[in-house]
Amino acid sequence: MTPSVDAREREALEKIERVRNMPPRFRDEQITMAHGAGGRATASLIGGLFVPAFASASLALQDDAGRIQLDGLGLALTTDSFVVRPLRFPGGSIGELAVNGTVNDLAVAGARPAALTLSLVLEEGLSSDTLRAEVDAIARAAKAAGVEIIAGDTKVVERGHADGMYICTTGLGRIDPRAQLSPASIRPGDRVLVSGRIGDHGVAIMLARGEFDLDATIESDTRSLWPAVDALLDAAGSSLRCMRDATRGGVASVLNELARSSNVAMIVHEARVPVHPAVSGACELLGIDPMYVANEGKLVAVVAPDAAERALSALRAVRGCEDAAEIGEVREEPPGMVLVHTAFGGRRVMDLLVGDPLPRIC
Amino acid sequence: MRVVDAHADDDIATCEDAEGSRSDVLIGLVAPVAIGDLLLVHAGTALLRLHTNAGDAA
Amino acid sequence: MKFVDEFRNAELGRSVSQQIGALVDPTHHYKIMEVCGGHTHTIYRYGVSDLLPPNVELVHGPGCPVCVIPMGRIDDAIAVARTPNVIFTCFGDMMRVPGSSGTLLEAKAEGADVRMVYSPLDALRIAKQSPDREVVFFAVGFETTAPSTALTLMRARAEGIRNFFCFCNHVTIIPPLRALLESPDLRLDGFIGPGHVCTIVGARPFEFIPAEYGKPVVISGFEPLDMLYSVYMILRQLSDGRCEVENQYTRVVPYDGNPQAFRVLSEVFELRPHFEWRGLGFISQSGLKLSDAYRDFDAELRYTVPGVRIADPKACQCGEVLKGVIKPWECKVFGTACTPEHPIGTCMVSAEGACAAYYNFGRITREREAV
Repeated sequence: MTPSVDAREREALEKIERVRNMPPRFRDEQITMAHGAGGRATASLIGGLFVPAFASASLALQDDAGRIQLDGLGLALTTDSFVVRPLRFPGGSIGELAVNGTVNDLAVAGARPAALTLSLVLEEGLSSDTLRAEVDAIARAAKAAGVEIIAGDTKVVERGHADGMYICTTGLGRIDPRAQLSPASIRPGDRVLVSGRIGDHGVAIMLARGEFDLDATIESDTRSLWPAVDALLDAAGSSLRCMRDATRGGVASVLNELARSSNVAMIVHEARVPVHPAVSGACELLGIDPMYVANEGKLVAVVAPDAAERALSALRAVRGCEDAAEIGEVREEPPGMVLVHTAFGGRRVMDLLVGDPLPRIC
Repeated sequence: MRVVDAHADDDIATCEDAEGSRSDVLIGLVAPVAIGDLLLVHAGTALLRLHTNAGDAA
Repeated sequence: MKFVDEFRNAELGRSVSQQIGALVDPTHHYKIMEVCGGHTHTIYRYGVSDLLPPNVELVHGPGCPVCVIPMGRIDDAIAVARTPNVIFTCFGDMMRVPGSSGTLLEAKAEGADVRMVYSPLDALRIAKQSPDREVVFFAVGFETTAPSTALTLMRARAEGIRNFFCFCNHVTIIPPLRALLESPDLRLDGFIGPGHVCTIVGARPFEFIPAEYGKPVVISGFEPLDMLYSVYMILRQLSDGRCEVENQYTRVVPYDGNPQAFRVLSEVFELRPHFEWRGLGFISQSGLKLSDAYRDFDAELRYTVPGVRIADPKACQCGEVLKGVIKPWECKVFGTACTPEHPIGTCMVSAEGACAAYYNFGRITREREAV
């Protein structure tokens, strides 16, 4: 290759890099499903519309929960809406998700969940039995997670305006004194842990929808992550850099967010990523990557190298985290990217998805 | 995928993959199939029979 | 499937990789085209390129059936999807392919009933479950997927189902390859043949490539080791001075294809005189439509569609990228008007198209070359 060609190529690559690093802009003419999928489109909505509009320092951090100091007391606050079809699926239901989802956003921010509010949007015609079952599920999950539901609201909308029921929960927690979490503290050499097998929830939902004629026994992993966080804080203390709840967009999206916000590279060793064989089988048939599939009870933690082993064994001792694993590490180069070392011995880039993971045909 | 249920008069067979996921598969290109046959399946259609005996596909 | 594990074995991969390294002429830059989109996926999924010497380059061919559908056909699909009472079904990755004004995903956001299916049979099932609606299946794909559509239509006819229609965009693999080979500026050393297509058509139809154009072809499986070994077989042919069609995928591909599939395809489909390909233009006898016997199922006869041909944007140079004449970054619109979020041409539409891949992977590829 002649030097001039080389220079032109470098220029082209630099141009891509500039475009890539531009602050996200929200330019779409209308909202599509992609804006809710947790990938690039979601990022453009948050970074391009919400953050500039509200000009909040805590919001700009885009953590799972916002932090606020009230009279010297460190609190974390978060809110989440739950829309899922079908309402019940193997391993759980919308009620459990509504509790655990919000509890987990607090937990990964290093806050012990204390209280929840509960807003219900119910569709005219919803059967009372369904509602009763979900209220039971909410109560059960709240008890298991050790949170109290202290306020609520109910609205009913006309038939056809909600898919049975929507639930919104807001959670308040107290920031644990052991926690010193911030993506900015991530350093090259740090280790990346996941708290168990990934992709169970997303695949369970896809199959429960019956859109694919595929019959497999996969259960959602919905559960409170506080016990896992508690164990990690105990074992690693201030060596625990940062945690994320790997929900929409899966582990891949979480790692991309961290790589970008900390300006480091995340290296993942594919062979070490725990995936249930039935999940990897279903994903292979559907042509999707389990790394992008949603979880409802799995966290990603970045830990200083000297604490990694301690943290991992503490995590594995927690019920539901027996399959926790160290899946990779943080490097300096190339900043902002997630690289996968494949089990076959090659490498690939794991980028943010543009929208929902769509099954591929070719 | 392995055939787990098939009827002589039907062009659909129920198949199962190694992890136990089941789905219906069109078998017009490879018919007739027998239970235990191993099929190469693309977009819900069996393109090819890989093995005719149960038990030798490991 | 345990059957498959040995074809993903890293140690075997390294050993083939070493054999390849020993075989190449370091002064020659090899360009090998993998024809099939499934192969491109394997290359990225497993990082196969990392196991090749820097002077062996894999060029992604026209074999992604989703990316080659031109804008005009997408517009037609969206028009059908917007027809009242229609449930429009398609493969997942089809939903993000842009027409002249938006995608099926956007049409869905605006209220069209667009649903993702995994197979044509799933679409037929929806038709049976919704007898008062009309269900249209957006059929795309090469000879691998066409039999699936054909068998589904045969079943629909046998069961007397009247509310199921097919918007047929099936294409055949040989004509675009011939079109590529005809172009005088083509710079390729060999072809990796599409294994799954060959389970249907066999390896024989590829014989013209060595015979008329003097380029080796190796029909390959889809596991990373299959592909690595196929590259080795092509390089071996080149170094031996041979040029023929070889079959790496013998565990699956019969040399003469599947005669039952030929019967099924010729009953349900007939060749169109022309079909337009995104990036490649019109290619004679490269597309399939429903035969007269199945005209009652033909969505193109059932619905009024714009049927307007939308020219590929002038600046888009997908054709040259496909032929290996230019690199993705040399295209005028690359990375500016044409990005993964707002793709223009076929090479950017799929995440595994040559341009999208370069957009995402370019930096680490260069890093590797620098080492």
